Amino acid sequence: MFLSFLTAPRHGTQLFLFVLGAVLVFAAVMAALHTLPPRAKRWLIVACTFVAGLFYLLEFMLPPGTLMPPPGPGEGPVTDNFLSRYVEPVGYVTQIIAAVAIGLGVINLARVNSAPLLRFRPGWQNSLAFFTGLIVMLVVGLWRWKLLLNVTTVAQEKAVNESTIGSLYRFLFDGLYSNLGGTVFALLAFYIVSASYRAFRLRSAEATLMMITAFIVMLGNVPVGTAYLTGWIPDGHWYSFLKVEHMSDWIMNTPNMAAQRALIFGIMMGVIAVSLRIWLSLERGRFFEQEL
Amino acid sequence: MEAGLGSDRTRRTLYLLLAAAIALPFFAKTVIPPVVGREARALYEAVESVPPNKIIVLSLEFEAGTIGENLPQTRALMNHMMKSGKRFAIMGFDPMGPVFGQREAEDLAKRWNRPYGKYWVNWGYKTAVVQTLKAMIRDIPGTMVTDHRGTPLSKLPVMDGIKDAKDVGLIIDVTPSALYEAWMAYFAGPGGVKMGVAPTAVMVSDIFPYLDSGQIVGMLKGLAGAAQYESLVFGRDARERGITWMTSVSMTHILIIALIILGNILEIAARRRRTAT
Amino acid sequence: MQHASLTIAILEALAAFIILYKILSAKRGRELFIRRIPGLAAIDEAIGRATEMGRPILFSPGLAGLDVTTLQALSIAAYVARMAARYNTRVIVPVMDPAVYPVAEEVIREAYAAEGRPELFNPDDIRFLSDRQFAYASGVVGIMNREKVAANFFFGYFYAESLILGEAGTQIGAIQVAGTPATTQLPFFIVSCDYTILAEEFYAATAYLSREPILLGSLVGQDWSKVALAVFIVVGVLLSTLLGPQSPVITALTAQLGGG
Repeated sequence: MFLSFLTAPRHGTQLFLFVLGAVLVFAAVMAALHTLPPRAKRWLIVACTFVAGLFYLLEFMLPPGTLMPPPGPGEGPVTDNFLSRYVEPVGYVTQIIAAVAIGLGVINLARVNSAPLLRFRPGWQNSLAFFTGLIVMLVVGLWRWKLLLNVTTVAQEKAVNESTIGSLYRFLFDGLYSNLGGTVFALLAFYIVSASYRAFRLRSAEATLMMITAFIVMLGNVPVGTAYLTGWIPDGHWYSFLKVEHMSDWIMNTPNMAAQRALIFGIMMGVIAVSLRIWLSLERGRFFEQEL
Repeated sequence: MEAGLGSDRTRRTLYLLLAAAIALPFFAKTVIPPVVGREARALYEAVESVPPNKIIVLSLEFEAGTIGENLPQTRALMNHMMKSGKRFAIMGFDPMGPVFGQREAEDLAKRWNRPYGKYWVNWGYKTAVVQTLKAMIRDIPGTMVTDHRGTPLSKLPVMDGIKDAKDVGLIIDVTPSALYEAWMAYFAGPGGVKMGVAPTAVMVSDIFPYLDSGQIVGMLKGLAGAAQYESLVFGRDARERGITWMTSVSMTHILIIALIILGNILEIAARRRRTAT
Repeated sequence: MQHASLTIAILEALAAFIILYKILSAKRGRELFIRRIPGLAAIDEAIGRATEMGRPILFSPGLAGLDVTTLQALSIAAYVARMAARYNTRVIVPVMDPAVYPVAEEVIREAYAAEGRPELFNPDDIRFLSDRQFAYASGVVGIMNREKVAANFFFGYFYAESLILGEAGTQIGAIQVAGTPATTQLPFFIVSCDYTILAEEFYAATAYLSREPILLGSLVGQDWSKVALAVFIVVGVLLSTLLGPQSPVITALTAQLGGG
């Protein structure tokens, strides 16, 4: 019932009062936490971590139907346990924390960039570019969003997109942002060339084997390899395996897959171990006031 | 480790050669027809086998950086779905994916005469990955509520009969990240829905174990996968984006192989000179 | 909703039991051996080089949010920051996720304080750049070039920008150490970085660096869990080969492993 009260949708004045009440409760809880001695704070963190982890662990481990009423006539089998319905609201809490954190990020960016700009330190032009981009995109984006709030038809949407603000938004988003993102990604092509030229050297038998494998997989993935190099080899014969795409397929589906599976097992074991340590607060480091 | 390539001039020469290898095929207008791989064919057949009473969910997770690979994949898939008259829904857990998808779909809808709302819908950008996927298993219209313009889904004919995971014939995740794992863990697996992936080429090797186990039914391997899919949809002589762009990729691969061989020849020659002196 | 099947519950409980048993035996003073991991051993060398050159260090904790991988990366960042504080070297930490930013700031601040050099900590060295992948990569490359960093540490989850970061660092002549569980990015780090920590070695980093018994015990327990898993795989392969993949035993086991 308390959960329903917390998660029920609200609008208008009720929403405003609810948010204000939540902020006041949060401030009161933070003030109370600040008065606790450090040892008590540490135990509170340990307890909260344990309870949070226990919730998700039990929700996953308890079989469907645990502490749930049996299905009614005509209903399918029960697929959840008694904790499953709390997963969504708990998840929203973490999202709200992440949303608030975005504000922190913007504040940090503004703080870091304001000093060079105000004091004309070297690189102040970059800070000016940052503030210009931030303010212009914020204003244009919010203005366009406000215009789109009342749009319900395709014609209305088209009118907004062809307005001055819509054109400016398209210039900033499609013209600048999308193209800049594509440009940075395109740098990878150049870096791959320079990295390959520098790093692929025949220094050992393993390096040679790796290079031959890389050549086969590369040629097997492009039409010039499959069509011109081995395209003349017919399918359905014992020597058809010599076609570069078949060799590439075998490499990817057999040794590569085995290696990927082994890596996944190892990584997942590592994740289980680290997660266990964090859940039980056994992780050592400055988080937990222990000397390294 | 050596700090660079010996000189800036060498690096600039390499970059110039690469730029030529990428750009020249566009002017020469040469196209090499691709050979269709197993994974692309499997995804094609999975799309073909979706019955008319089910919907295909196209999850677009990419942003501007990877449109070189993900956009041709999206376009190839949409061409197939619109050509075959399959119902599909666009959505994404990245804000830009559904925007790119909407534009491509609007363009292709004119070509195939598939109006919005009747054959396809854009559910828009969703923020909470795990919560959304878990909720979709039980109730898709209740989770999505409206399309990206705010139109209630109940008013769109494309959503007729679509209630929960059982009404989804196939999910295809077009992604440069590992979000397909969330789809597998929270929707496709529990909901018993078939799943395909269209990742960028660098992600491909990670996905083979899931193909082998049957958790993923088909895959488009980067731009090459998009080209192969286009040749299935339009035939080997097609001149769609993926097929034409693959010529540049082919030239680039040849260039890289040639440069690696050249680099090794130069190093062996230098080593021999050092030994001789 | 997906829930654990009986088999998965047993396997997880077994892994947890092995790890906790090894932690307890390590706490009782048992000596545990872990092999040398060159990439982790090179961290001190990289910090030393940056100190000699009088140039800063850059530490990128990856592009994931506040999860296990990033927390592990921040543990390594704490170690790097403590060593750097000892030698009066600056550490710049650009972050991509805004939720990671306050945690990273606190970690680095406490590392400087632990070395008795709180005055050296500059909050502007912990920077949120952007939550977009390539904007973050551009920002990091910009920092590398403007600040002329001498050592780069890339620990955490990376995507396609890994080669951009690695090559940019190579071009400015920085010594680079990378560690990531992202298997797709390992080849790029291997060609562009001086030392690379592969996959699960990333999760061994805090144990290796701190030599703290609990962490060492957990690492050994992790390895023994892998051995148990390997035995399970071999038994499964043998059963499947002898009985045939369609036999009732194999079908029942496969259904169990599929989960609820």
